[in-house]
Amino acid sequence: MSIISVDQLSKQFAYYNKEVGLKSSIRNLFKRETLYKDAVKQVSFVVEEGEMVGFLGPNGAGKTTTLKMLSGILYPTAGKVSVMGYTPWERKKEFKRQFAIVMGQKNQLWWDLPANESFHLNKTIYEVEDGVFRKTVEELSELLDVTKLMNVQVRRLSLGERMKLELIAALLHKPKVIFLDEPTIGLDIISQKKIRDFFKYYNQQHKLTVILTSHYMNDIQDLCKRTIIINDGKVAYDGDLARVNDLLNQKKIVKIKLSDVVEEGVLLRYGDMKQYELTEAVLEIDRDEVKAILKQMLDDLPIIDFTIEDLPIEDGIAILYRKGEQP
Amino acid sequence: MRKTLHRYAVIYHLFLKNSLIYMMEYRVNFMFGVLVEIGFLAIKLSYVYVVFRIGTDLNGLSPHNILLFIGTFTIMAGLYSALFFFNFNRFPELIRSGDLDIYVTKPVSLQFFTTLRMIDISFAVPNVIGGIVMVVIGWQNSGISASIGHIAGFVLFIGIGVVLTYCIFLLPQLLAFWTVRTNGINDISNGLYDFNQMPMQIYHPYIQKAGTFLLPVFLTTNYSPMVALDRLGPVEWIWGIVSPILFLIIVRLLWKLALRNYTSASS
Amino acid sequence: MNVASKYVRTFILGLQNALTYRANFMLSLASCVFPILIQFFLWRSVFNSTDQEIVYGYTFSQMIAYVILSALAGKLVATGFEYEISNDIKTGQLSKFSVQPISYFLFRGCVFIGEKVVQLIILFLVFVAVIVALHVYLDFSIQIGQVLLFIGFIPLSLLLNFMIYYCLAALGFWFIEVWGIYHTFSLVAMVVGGGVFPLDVFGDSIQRVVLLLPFQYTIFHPISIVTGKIDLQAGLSGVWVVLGWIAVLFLLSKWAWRKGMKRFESVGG
Repeated sequence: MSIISVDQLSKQFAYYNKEVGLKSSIRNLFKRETLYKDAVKQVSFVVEEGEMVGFLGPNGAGKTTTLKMLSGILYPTAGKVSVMGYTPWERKKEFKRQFAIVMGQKNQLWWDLPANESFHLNKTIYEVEDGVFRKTVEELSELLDVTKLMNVQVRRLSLGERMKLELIAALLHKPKVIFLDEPTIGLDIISQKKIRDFFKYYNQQHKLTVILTSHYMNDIQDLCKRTIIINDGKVAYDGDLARVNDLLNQKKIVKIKLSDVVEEGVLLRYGDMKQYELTEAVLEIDRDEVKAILKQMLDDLPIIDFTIEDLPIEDGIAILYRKGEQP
Repeated sequence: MRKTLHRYAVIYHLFLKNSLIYMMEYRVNFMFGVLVEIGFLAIKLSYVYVVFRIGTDLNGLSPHNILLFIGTFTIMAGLYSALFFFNFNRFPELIRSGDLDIYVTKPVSLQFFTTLRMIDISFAVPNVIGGIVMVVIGWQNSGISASIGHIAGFVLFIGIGVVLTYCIFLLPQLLAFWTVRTNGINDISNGLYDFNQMPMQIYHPYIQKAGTFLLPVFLTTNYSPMVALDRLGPVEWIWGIVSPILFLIIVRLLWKLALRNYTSASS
Repeated sequence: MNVASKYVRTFILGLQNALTYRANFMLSLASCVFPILIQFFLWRSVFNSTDQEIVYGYTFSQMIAYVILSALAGKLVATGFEYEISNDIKTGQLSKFSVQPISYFLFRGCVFIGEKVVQLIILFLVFVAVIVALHVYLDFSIQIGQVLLFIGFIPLSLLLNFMIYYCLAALGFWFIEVWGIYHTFSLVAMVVGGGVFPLDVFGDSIQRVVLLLPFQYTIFHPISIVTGKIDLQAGLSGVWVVLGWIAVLFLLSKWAWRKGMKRFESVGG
């Protein structure tokens, strides 16, 4: 039996068409036009115990909505979900005590208090025993290198330090399943790496089942063998990350800054133009050729600065569809 | 059951501890809280002053009787602002920011966790002390014997008053689940609550009935002094015991309804 | 841009602000109903339980007129810019003004007046309705001269209250956190200005002190004119006292702000 199984899960939001102005406000008082948006459409998948699965997809694709239904925050419009044998939105206490959700943009630690105090509160809420609590805090804070920060007010900490403490708070009760929604958003590269390493280790030690959403390809690449791509509320791909990775990574984005104006036509010789503003340009270049082409460009053009970036996930998915080779 | 109660008591104790640590951190705010409440106390005292300057009985209540009522109201206002005000005030923001989402996933009553989490002693200090002084003076000069029965009845209805205050102020806040702004409604519930500034006996009988049975605003601060003055009839006794239970149930049901709406609608 | 139009624009800024928040103002106006009702019943039972026609020198209708009008006047003269000023000081926004060719004092003044114009218009209509209603239902007598003087006095009350709180706002230069002081000050100022009870209810010794302070001219004095508690003569002499207070407070604010600005600049904002 899989630890998480999702069957035909759908979520429809009702919202109202709001026009500005007093007149339409008054009109809306009496009669409002209700509109519907399908945020999640018949999503199905299963996750095995100890697996780490990455949710990929553009903004607004339905990743967070799906996670919220899996944690029981939202009721679905239709479909079935079982997490550890529980239906999340029944909100059984036993269920809540065995999972955790961490959202990168929301904090559960009390801002004006040292993290220690929030941990104690969580200990009582989750009914963790004294000995277990002490050992867990000790172990996790050493792993994440935050032992010294336990008695510092949370608001005085850096974003990265705060996230590490948030993770400890979420893992205190040794959840079997954890949902991570953009846990590394806004963090510096080193903190991101540190948190990834931590999860890799923790997953091996404790057989923790993880579903992770992230904007950073690196997070997913490092942690998850398997990825589920969600686009427009539907599962677009479910399988090995390596395969889709190749497709997504076929192109690189090269941004250049020039000291002199170079004509668009000249630049077009090197790759597909995405953006052009006289002394700045953004080009899309095949991954295998990036090195050679860039070298050529540096020789030919008055380049003062350049960056190489991954294709944004949105574009990657668009390419997948355009090529018609749905993986 | 006992285990659950104990667990919640421990959690509430942690809330109190955390609130105290918070208070130590922001000592200026503590001082200001005390200062502002002294200002409000001055306004309440100006009513006392006026009543005593006039010196005659109002609708059968002597100035010292009235002092007993105003004192009780002052104590209750202090308890309300210490125990509930900040939680209720923060409530719409909790929904708007989506922080409520995280709380939903915790294995603890969401209503307990969101409505009782913050306690601010600073707002209670001047009011509770000032109120007790008023009550003691009014009590002695009204010639009430300090019997166990009187004192126990007075304290019992203070407790009931706290419960009803919780319900009366939380009810409008639940609207935040549907519409995000509740400022205007807050003004109205505060205004209604302030009717307790004067004993309910001075108001029109219709207002007295509405404030007792429809929305028991008067029950929060009038029944304590009325017990002490032996003015509480059997009907009022029964209603005084039943209404807090009834309103707790109503609030609980509405809370569930509101939450159900929230979790099926929000994005 | 010439000097005048600069301030006209600031004035319009305040006006727009008030228009945006007019619903809020209407709501807070509506919430006046509760204290008015409380006092209505208080005074009704007071007048019922004494044989006298007159309590504290007020007939019942005069007292009710006082209660309603003072609640409205209290809303009208209320400020709030002192919190914005302390915020400007705290965040260093104030230094923006010291390099711009615009006087901060006039800037705040124009915004305040701009905001109040909308409220004035709304309240003027309410005042008229209330006075007429009182006349019809409670036999409240209206004298045209008194009403005109009252209407003329209101702008002075506004200006006076602006000056009081502009002086108070200078505290922001010395203290980082000031909200508690402002809030408490405004509560006490309301009591001694006659915003809760007419000052006649106080004993002689308290009255002597309270009437010496400027606060009575923000609420108690103008309302007393319209309720006919004081005659035209006494009402008019109040005009000179208010002008005197405004002048004194103006000088005080200049002094306090000069000291404060020095501190602000030396600390570096």
